[in-house]
Amino acid sequence: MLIETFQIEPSSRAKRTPWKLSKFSNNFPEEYLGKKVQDEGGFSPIKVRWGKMKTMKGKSNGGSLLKDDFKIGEKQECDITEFFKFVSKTSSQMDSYIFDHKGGSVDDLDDLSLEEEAIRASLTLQWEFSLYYISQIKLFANMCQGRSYNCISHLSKNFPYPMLMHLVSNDKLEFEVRTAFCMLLKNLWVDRYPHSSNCGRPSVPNLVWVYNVLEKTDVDQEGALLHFNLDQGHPCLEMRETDADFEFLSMKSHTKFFLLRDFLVKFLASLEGVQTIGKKSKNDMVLIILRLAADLMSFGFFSTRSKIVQLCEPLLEVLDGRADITVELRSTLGFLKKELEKKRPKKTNASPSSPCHMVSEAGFEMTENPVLPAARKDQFHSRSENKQATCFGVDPDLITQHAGNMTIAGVDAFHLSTTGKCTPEYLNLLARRQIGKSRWSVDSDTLRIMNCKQNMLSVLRSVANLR
Amino acid sequence: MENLLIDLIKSCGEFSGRIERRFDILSKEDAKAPEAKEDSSVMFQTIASDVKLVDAVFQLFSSPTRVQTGDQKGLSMVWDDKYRCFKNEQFDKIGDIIILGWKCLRTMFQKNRRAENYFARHNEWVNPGIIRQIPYKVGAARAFETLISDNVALLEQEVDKSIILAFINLIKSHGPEDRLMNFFAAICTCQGAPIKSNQEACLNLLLLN
Repeated sequence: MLIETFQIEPSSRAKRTPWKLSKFSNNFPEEYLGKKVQDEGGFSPIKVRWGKMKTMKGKSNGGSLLKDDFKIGEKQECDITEFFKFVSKTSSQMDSYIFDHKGGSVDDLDDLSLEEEAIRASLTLQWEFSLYYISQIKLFANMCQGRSYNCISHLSKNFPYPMLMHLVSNDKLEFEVRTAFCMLLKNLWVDRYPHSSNCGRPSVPNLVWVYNVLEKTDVDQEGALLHFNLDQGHPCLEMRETDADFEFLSMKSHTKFFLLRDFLVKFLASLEGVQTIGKKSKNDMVLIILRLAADLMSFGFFSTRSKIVQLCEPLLEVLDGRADITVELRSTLGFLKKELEKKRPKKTNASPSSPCHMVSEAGFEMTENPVLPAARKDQFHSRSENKQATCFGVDPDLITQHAGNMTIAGVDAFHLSTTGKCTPEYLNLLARRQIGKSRWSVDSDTLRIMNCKQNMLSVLRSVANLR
Repeated sequence: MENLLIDLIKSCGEFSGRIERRFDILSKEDAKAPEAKEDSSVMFQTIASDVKLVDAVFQLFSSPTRVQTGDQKGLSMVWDDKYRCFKNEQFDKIGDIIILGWKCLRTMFQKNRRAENYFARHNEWVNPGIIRQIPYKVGAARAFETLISDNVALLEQEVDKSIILAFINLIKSHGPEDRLMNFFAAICTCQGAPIKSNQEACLNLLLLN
């Protein structure tokens, strides 16, 4: 009753997908998980197989008990991107798609030939399968949560680290799918032995160690943080079941998760400081990415000042929140952008995602545009204007409470130890605004964004705990 | 159908008397200890359990599957796969009412540990009670998820091999549905904390077998 994921050995090197370095990394380190795959030319293609799902009753086949395996268009396996083609569609969108495919209208629902009915059943089944498979991946992730080693041991054979990295970094897959694989990656490969929080240093509320001698380390040096070394003869190394296990456990380098670190920084930078309220699947992905970042930070895999700054800069941009927009606004901006491109084909220096730039370049006045709600006007102010005009009528108790939280979060420490670009007062101001937002807007989309911001703070807290 | 409605009205009359008495008791308790005053929704949930309104609602809305399995009582209804609701020849709207009933039932124990425990205490209500209606999209699956999602004690004590096997059989008999698979994901963790026993059970029953 489970759908399988597997890699195939491509016939030629050209069919492999090599890892593309982001602008944040100059070159590949000497040692990292997935190096072997990269040396062979890249990741192998991934397929999905549902051939073993026999003797089930398929609703799409009129409720009859199937004697054979499930088939989608005479197939029992296919490429993963093809498999998830319809995953983000709703049932009504699926109907529209089917009838577009047929060339008729949705009103013809009861007027299908046998052949069309078969196509409809096949597409619907594929859609149902893709949703089912996402739930299955989430189940696997939950089974591994909390370092459940029996489950980890079993599933790590089916989902090797390079395969999961290929899946989470695959832009052709929908965010929903990548989120599920991110969850699995976190619980299966990152949050497990021998890694531990705060680079293995005990902290409140756990037992605190007292050091008599403190040696100051230079945070610009590679490997300034503790590493998780298993000495030769360690029982885990002796009892390993696969070579992948051995590679994972024996690798001592802080560049172990180089691919993941590169992906995280690239993904957060790609947000360009803007989150869209209402883009549920993307915001869910941001949330799980942040949890991964918090773990990597806490486990010491952002091992130098420059790497920490690389992560924190896009993080603070997104934490800011003043550039956050709604889905409706984003679609309107998309329209404005097209209009702008029609008017000015010449490329400008303005940031493509910055609302204020797009509007001013297009020459539109917000108050005169009936499409845009007046309440969203403040989002078109420049950042500097917004900073001065921040007065949100928030409960003073809430501000005091949050200021306390920020101190606990160690944002001051973060400020002192990194760029010096943002003052603690500035960060407090931003956070207060976020808290104020959550106070007045309690819809699930806004709460999702708020959850992301809270997780950003927890990443910053991890930075502070590394001191 | 008429008899059923008459019975329901009679029951409501009986409930109103019980509710009134319960309100009196609660308001006296609140007067004694104002700091312990419960939230109004929690109070209604408590009353629903105390006066056995939950019992009546559950018996009423689990009736379609009780008829199908040959149990006594209940309305004669059939599942319409095209419109995805239960149908009764005499009463057109019964499908909508069943869906509403499950929503109502869910509201009666949502976020209330005491009400959740009251419901789960009746073993036959969960399995086969709710489990039988889960294949039909009437809200039973969501009610069940609400019941167990944030209650660690229920997840550890009430979710056992028989319930997991029941869900596996549902998937086998009704085909792969994400809402059925979501159940397994829901029982493995609770508010971010792992439930080791259920994780191991899922591993053994889903992957190793």
